[in-house]
Amino acid sequence: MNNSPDSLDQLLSDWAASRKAGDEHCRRLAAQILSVARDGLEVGRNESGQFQHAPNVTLPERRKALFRPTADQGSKLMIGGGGLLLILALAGCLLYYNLSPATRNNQQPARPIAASTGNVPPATAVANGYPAAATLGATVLAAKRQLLTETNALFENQLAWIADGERKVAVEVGDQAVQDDTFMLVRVVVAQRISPDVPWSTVWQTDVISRSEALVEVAPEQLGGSSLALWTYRMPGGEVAVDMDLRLDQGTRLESSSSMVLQTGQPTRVGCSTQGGIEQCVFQTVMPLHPSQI
Amino acid sequence: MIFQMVLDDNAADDLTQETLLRAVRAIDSYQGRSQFGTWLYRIAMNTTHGYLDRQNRSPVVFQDALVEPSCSDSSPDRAATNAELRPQIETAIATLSPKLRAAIVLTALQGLSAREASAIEDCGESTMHWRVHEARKQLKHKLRDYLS
Repeated sequence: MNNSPDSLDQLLSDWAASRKAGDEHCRRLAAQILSVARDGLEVGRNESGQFQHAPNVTLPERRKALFRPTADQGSKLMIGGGGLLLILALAGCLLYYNLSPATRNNQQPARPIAASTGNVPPATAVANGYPAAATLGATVLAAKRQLLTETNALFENQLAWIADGERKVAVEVGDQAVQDDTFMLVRVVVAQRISPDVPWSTVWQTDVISRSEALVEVAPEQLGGSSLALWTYRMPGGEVAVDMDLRLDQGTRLESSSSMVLQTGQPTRVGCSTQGGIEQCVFQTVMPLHPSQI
Repeated sequence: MIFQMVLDDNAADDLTQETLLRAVRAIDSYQGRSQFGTWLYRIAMNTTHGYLDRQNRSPVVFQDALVEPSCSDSSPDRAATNAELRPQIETAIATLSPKLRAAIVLTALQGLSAREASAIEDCGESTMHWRVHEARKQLKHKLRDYLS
């Protein structure tokens, strides 16, 4: 087809050459993509260093009975060791064959697909008996909606859940698209205080976005050493039932199992203990979340 | 290739990333019936067409990036000409429909045959020939002042 180049071909060829991506930009983009594949979409490893698809969360038998796994359970994000190697090869291959952007002056890294939105506020105030971090304000909801929208669109409506921790994001994808676009956002906050007169201090915080009745199991390696299992169900009256097992092991050690019916948007204390004069509590706040149309 | 389709650096970065992640996710579906490169091109093109559909072909904003000449393009005069013509060329390409744009990008810029391009775009070979012809006709008309 292109056997008889004319001046149009030359013009286009010169333009393409002038817009060819530079090596530095290619390397940066490849590193960015690898970073997203490795860190943004968390991948579990077993003890032998091989990737595994199922997080290793051990639930007490009583708790297992409370959870109601759906068809999504066990179908994990299909990025394994081979996948990561492949992505390296793909990046090089695609960039080599010009499947790459042009060089530009103000090179900015590509926007991560599921970047952490920065969860833990620097200070935690007393607000009606719960830490301010447990409140889901409009800004937080907008950020979570954007995260949900982009991730769900990327995986073509197959997203099962997202666990957005302080520095890591774990994602689970089902094996088929789901048309129901109602998700639940559950913010889990662990806070402590030395007396009722002083503000709560946030110890740990994670946001989970999941489909109703989807079992969320986040392994310790995906959550900085802690493990979380959570299940939500929206009741006909609008309240949300939340079952949760949390094993926290990040400086503070804590184990909490709860099964509560929550009002949407209302931070709720689901468990407390006092040790050495320090009161330590687990709070949950739940809100329905719908991905935006993009 | 993606940049040549969307003519936007940031969007091209994002779409390249999306293409790679989709390819990794879909690697199980690659059954060796087509060449691996063709399979990747198809994913990239599908991703790009989706983006262009969402953009509803909104006007393209060009960036005033400096020319970074390649090794084979070391002539200062030629580089200056490229820099001067770049907006005109990109405006001309941007006015093509996504299908025509894909046809000219895949053949004239990526060097694929009409058969390979038709496999990527999921259309008949004769349809691809027509699209390339039509795209060239429109580009020649829009760039007639710069063609010898």
